[in-house]
Amino acid sequence: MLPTAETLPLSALPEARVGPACGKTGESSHVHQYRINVFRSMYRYKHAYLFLLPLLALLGIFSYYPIVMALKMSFYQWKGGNEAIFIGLDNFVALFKDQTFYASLKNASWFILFDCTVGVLMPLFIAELLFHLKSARAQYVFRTLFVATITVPTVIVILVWVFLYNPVVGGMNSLVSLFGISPQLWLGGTNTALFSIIFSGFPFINPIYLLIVFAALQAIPKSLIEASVMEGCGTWRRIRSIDIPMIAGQLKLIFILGILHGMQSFYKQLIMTNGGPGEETLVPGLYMYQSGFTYNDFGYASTIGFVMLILMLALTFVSNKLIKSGNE
Amino acid sequence: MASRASKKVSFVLIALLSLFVLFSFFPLLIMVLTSFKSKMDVSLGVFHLPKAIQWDNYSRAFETVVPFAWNSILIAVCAVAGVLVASSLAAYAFARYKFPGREILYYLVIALMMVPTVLVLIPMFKLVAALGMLNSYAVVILPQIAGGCIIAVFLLRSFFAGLPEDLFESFRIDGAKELRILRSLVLPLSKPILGTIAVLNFHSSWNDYIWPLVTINDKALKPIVTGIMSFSNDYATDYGPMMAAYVLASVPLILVISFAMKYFVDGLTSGAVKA
Repeated sequence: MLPTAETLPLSALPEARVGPACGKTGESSHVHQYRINVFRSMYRYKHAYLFLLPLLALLGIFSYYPIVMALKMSFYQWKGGNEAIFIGLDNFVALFKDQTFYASLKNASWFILFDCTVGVLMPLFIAELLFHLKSARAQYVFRTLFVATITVPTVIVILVWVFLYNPVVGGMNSLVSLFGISPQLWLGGTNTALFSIIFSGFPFINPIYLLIVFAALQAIPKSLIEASVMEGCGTWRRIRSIDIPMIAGQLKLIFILGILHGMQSFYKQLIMTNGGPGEETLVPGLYMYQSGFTYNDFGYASTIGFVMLILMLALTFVSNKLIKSGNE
Repeated sequence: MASRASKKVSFVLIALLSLFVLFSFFPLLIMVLTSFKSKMDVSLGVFHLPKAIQWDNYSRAFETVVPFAWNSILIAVCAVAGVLVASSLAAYAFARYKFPGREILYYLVIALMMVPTVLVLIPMFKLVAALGMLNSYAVVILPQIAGGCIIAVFLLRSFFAGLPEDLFESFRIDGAKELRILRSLVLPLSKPILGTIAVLNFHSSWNDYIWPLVTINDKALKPIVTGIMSFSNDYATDYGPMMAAYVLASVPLILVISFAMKYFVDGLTSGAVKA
């Protein structure tokens, strides 16, 4: 086998003789050697650093820098233009007093609640249905059908729902008249707007969540299931005692994803109602977007973002702890 | 008797599942149905079948949609290419080389998965404005690559790390350089997972709505999901052609994903996602 950089002892490498000149006196030779070794390592692995360059450059510019700036800008008053005045915690104080912000939080909690309950239960329900199918072919067909729903761009689906919610030509009013409900304004109605947006997620079967849960169900050892059948365990009992505990990890994952999604997403709110009517459907993400791009108050918008980040981290942390203890 | 009971169960299951599939596709069916209607048909009600198919809707929509569609395709292809290149190189480095700072850098990259998009929206806007990148394709493509790489590196690294060492040895004996190894050995083996990553990124690039909305004002450059909003306003209440435009806007994405559906589903169900 040809000697390569990996197989030769360190001292045999040419770099050892042309090492960096460490002119610092008073340094113990131990530290001196360590420093040479690190530089030598880095030189030896120059390929690695080169390979990493595109990724790190991109992330540095478009991820790390904006994050730092986001946190920094929340301490400034910056209303467009190029002048940013440092105002310390003033933005935060204003935010704590801001009734609109609290209204948006209240609205967001409805979305979060829905996303992490119905949004978790429906994929679980469908996954169980799929799981009980005897024919593998039927499983494949239905699974593919459910996943196919992601092929249509999200915005398009939202726009179609806007059409459906149109009080005049949309289908919703004709549909609910079948149940004896009078025509509503839906997205324009103060009492119906929030619910309308939530309902546009019908039937709440996120294809990716579905795939995750279904894969988890398939990973349950067959022996467990057979044993339960032999002991005369009913289906419902089995689901409760075997399935759910075995897939608890994935369920928790989806639960947390649901919370994160409910907390920060504002596509639907932006496109369907732009927060209206009034503040009925305003959510923090949208409030931040409007502060920045409609009202040009970038400093305040960053403050909202900062606080949202903290809230999200807190929510995630808490739900992580809660669910874990439920499983012990 | 057991088989009769299980047949009944199967029937109920299939009926239920079909119902839910119908529910899932319901908005899309309405969309396609409405796209064939004339103005009068639309006013009759959503569930009415059109008297005659209005192909005219599609020809009107076609002209408006096509330029936007080309923008989306260009952006998506560039974004996918960028993600594949940058993440393969980086994941390879993370997986096969033990260089100083490897762990720290890797966790720094992965930690970005935690960051919500909302937070960086505004500073990123200010940044690209200062760089003079507004109203260009690059302003949309580059951030998409950055975002897509995070998950891609995560997936690829574990895959690369799992490749057996012997394969690499035989290549090294022949004196192959590192890039060559990557190109001729690793990439062909990684086709399935690269396919999954390509599909995921094409999908998220196509769906990217808010960022192009705030960074591109020039109508000629807008990707389709953003352009279609201004387009909706042009058509006001003309729902037939509007729906036709929506259908056309969905077609490329449907094609791409159907093509690669196998990769996508296999990737997610192989148990790669664990607790």
